[in-house]
Amino acid sequence: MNRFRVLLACLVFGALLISACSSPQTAAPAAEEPAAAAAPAAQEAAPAATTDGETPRNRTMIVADMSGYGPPEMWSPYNLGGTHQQGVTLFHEPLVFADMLDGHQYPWLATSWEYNADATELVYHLRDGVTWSDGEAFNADDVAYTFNTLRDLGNEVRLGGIYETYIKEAAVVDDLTVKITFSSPAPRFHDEVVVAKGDSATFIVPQHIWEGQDWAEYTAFNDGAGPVTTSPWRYSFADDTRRIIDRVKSCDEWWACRTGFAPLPEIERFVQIFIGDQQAQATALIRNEIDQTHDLRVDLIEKILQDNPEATTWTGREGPYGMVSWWPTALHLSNTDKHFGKSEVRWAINRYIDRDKLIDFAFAGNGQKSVWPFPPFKGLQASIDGLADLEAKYEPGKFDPADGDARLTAAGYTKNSDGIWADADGDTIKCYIASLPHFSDLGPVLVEMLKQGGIDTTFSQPPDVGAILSSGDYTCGLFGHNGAMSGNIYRTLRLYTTGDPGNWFQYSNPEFDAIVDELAGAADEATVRELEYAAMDIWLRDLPDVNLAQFYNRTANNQTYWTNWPSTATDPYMNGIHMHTGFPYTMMQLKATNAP
Amino acid sequence: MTFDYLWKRIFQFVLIAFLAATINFFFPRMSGQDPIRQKLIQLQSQGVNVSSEEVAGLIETYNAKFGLDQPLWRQYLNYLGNMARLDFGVSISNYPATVSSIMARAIPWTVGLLLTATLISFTLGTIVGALLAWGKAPLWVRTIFPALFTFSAVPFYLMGIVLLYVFAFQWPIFPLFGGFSTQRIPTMSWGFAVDVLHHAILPAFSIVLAQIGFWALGMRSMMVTVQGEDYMLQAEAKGLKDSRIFYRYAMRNAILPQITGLALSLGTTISGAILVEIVFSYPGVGSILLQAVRGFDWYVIQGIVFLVILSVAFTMLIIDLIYPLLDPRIHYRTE
Repeated sequence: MNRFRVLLACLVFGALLISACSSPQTAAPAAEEPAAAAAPAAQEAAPAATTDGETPRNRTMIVADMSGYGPPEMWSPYNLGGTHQQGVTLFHEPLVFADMLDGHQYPWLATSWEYNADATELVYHLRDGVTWSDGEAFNADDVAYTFNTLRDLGNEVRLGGIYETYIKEAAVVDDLTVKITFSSPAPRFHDEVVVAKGDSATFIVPQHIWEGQDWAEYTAFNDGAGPVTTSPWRYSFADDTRRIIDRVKSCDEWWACRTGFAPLPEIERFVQIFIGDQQAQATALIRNEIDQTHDLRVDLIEKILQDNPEATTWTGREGPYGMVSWWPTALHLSNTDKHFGKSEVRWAINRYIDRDKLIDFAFAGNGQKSVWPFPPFKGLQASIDGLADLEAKYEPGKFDPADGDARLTAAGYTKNSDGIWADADGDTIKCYIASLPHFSDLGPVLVEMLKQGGIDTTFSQPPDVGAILSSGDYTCGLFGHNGAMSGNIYRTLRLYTTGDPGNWFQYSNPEFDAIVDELAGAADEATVRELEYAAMDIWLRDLPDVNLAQFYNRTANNQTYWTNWPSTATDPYMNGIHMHTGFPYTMMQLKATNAP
Repeated sequence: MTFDYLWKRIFQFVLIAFLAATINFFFPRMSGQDPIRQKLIQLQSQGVNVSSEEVAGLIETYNAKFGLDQPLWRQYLNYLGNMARLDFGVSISNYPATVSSIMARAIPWTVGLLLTATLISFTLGTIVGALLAWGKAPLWVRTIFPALFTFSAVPFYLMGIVLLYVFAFQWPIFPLFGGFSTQRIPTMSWGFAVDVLHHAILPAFSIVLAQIGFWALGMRSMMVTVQGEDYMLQAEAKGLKDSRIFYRYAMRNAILPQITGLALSLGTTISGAILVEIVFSYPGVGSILLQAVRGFDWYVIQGIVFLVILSVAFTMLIIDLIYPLLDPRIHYRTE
């Protein structure tokens, strides 16, 4: 029995020791107030350290992701396995930042830019005084080298294909001027390829480091030193579950602060961490363990707002709690299916869907319906306005089951004894929806609506949903739309052209293809609007897929340690989602609270 | 033990490795998926804006780079050559990272967690199982421990969710996620070691609780069988001490099937406890395997599965070789 007591005492002591030793991780930061909110000169002071030498919590930005990260040595956006979403974007200051929602642009490494009249040339004027982290000057050579190398490599590297398609030559005019000549008019190249917004950007690289490297293989890890960058961020640590990136210690180490263009960010350490469970992310934010979640369900966002008075969202503490993303949700219909190959059937499906109810049930009313295959961004507003007549003519968002019934009847369908629509051979219309997990809230409601319309519908979330939909071997699918974000809707229309790899609908219409081909090179605004109208007239007549709702990025943001989050309730200066390429701009605007 | 026997066992080991490698090659390919296309789709679904223009070209380029455009028999021969050199190739999802480097980072976490948890549950379960079948065991042992048997019917991950809810959500004494604290950068220090231990307690406990009943039930059954043997009666008749009879006569004979079971368990620890790692957002091979399966990353799947099969086969080989040391009745001699 004595042995048992000794063992018990050891266990209790061990537990106490573990608790005691781990407490510095959550302990209050040192009482000394960091001066991050002050002028750049004052920021040169070393950050207040915790007892274990780590950056204090109130100078650390912690954001959470739903999936783990790639290998820690991968810091190039151009590797096939690379992505800007895992901290990489912090090391590539763009020529221009832009808010994907309103299209507002913030010149950064470039001060200005201009197209020639027929959009075959684009000139960038670069900012003076910019240097790389190793002291080398940033200049037009780096920019021209990046564009020309991407053109030469093309599909050898991720993101390279579009440069191969459009760029003829990027030439250095002088140290601070680059002229890009296109192989055909490219009026949207700046907006859609170069600026950092949403999930795209041209990631400029230092020529003196990258030249001679194999871009497909080079990871920019540099034996643990991390990427050479113009930004104030330096690699500290990475593994499969996190990325830790630290800010430079002094103003002199970053060109923007040194030249007075921008103060050092108040964030001293950026941590991106994997928390695979949505509820765990919500709990972590409620407990102030993280500052921004990944996309969460509406009910969890509401729970966070209820339990943490410092929590906020893109729309403040009121719904819909998020921002419209560039990825509108659509019910994909395989146009090669026996039934969905007929536009009457596709239109009938459209008429059976009550989008208002869909949003009420799936998102508790916190959503926005969608009838177009592109997002309602300000940068696309001119295109959307030009389609007003067509929307009135076709009424794509109208819920009208009677019209759906009439269309199916006219197409030779009748309801069988089970109330399911069937063709003359007795073959029923089957809509077996394959979906990404993102739409687990939307799917079941949609199934019920279509069943009420008399369509045999099921819902599943197969792990290879992307492969299923891209193969065309499906009936129905729930997925988002890639495509246009600003300028005009060409990139979205391209997805519906015959043989395009993004044409998962297997839609084919030569007349439509010809209009889109013409639109590709159109630079004149009036011509662009005219071609858009003609293409969308065909699109609406045929209705290759059924658009349902806008996709929302709903993250919860924590104001306990960081304020001035972009928000429609205060100042929506940038879409402040940490996965997006505009997030480094947001990080520079956030203010520390000095909360313990 | 004869050399004949040794060679025969080593030949079996090599044969198993060859068959495993072959099956490992063909199974992922039977899915009919194009892993490069899947990678690009995965990027698109994560919101990464890979344009349509790029998709077709990238697929063609990287299929050639990975040799996926070659005839299947040539791919198979290349693959066998690489496996023989333990060269698992390059990950498709994480190109250009090698599979070996990906596994090398994850294996210490998985082995550290699962090896410790398995050994703890094996030791506790075996002792408890033996005591429960031993008529002279203390009353508290016979009263308290049978309750643990019910846990053997509960899967690891479910146990993990319950523990997480109780000890991290409701009563926050253990962390919610991760292998170590959010802001910490790993160092060779006592503080970091304690931090890792603190984060490993709940995942390990969920495995121990779920496994302990399994080991205890197996051991109890064997102990009951052993206790009727003549040598046990003889030991008692000789007036040997209870502890000597328990450890040297009963447990030593009853434990042999447990050892075989342990060898199999240890062999599979390398594959990780996928769901436990996911529930606790814990780094390890299980999480990597899951991501590889989702992304049709054939090379990572092949690497992990092959390593698991090798480790199981190898531990079985070792157990076979050391069995005579555990049980003197077993000997490998040609009669």
